[in-house]
Amino acid sequence: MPTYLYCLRSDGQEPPAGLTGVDGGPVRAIDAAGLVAWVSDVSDKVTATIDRMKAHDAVCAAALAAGETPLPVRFGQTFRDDAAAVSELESRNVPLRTRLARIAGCVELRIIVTGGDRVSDTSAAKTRQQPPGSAETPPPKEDGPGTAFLKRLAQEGGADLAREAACEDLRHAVRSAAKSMIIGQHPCESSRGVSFFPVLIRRADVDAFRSALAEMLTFKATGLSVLGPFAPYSFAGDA
Amino acid sequence: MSGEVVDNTSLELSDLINRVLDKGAVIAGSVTISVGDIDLIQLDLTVVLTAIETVRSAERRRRELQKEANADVPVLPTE
Repeated sequence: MPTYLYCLRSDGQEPPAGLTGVDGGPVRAIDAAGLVAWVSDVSDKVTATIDRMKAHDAVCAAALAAGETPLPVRFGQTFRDDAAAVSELESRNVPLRTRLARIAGCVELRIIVTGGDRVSDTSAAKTRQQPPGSAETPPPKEDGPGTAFLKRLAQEGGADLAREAACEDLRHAVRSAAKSMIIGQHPCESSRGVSFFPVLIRRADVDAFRSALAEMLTFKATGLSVLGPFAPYSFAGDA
Repeated sequence: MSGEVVDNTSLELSDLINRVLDKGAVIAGSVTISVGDIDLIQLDLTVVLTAIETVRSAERRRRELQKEANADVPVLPTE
C-alpha cells in the first residue's frame, strides 16, 4: 500500500496515539537514516481536496505541537511503500538535515494583507482608477457592457497593485519594528485574491511579535490578518 | 480603515491552499489537483525534480566546456 509523507523530524518523537491523516489513515513514524518521518497508508491516488489538505495540515500542526519543529512536506507526496520513501529520504539526507537545522526552534507566521486603502502615496497606487464621476472617469451609465467589463477588470487590477504595494510597505515596516525577532522573511506574494508574506520567528517570540505588530498597527492603516503559528512550510525549501 | 487583526474563515482556507500546495519540502511523488470529480492537473513531482536536475547538469557541462576551451576559441556544438 502506498505511503503518504507529512513531515520529517530529527528528535524521534512518535505521533500521538489516535492521530489520523489523509483519508483517516493512522499516522505512524518510520526511520530514515536518522530522521523520523510521519506517514500514513493511502490509496493509490491522492487528489487534492479541501478535506485532505486540512488533514495534511493537521498532522503537521500535531507534529509542531509534539516537540521540536518538524520539516513540513508539501501536500501530495506518496511513495510505493515505506521502503521507497526511506530510499528517497536517505538520498536527500544532507539537504533535509540542513533545512531542519535552519528552522529548528522556529515557527512560521503569515501576514496577509486584505486591503490597500492607504497607499495613495505609493507609485503603484497611482494606477488605481479614479472614483466614478470624477473628471477622468465618465459616468458608468454611458458604458456598454463590454466597456463596463473591461473597466471592472482594470479596477480589479488596480486594486491588486494597491494591495501588493501595501503589502511590501507593511513588510518593510514589520521588519523595522521587529527586526530582532525575525529569523527569516520572504518577499510579498499574491495569490487567490490576497497578498501575503511569511516570517520565520522563534517559538518563544510569537506573543512578543504579535504585540509588536499590534502596536505598529495603531499608526498603520492596512487591513490584515496574522495567521499561525504553523510548521515552517515557506522555509522548508525543496530537497 | 484602522489597523486590525481579524480572523476570517475564507481567508484561512485560501491560506491553507497556498501553504500546503505551494510550500513545503518536495521529496518525490505526484499530486492531482481536482475540483469535484474532475481532475484538472496532474503534477509529477519526480518529473519536475528530474527536469531541474537535467537543466543543472547541462549547465555544469556547459561551464566545464567553457573552462576547457581557450578564451579565444569558441566552443562549437557537437553533432
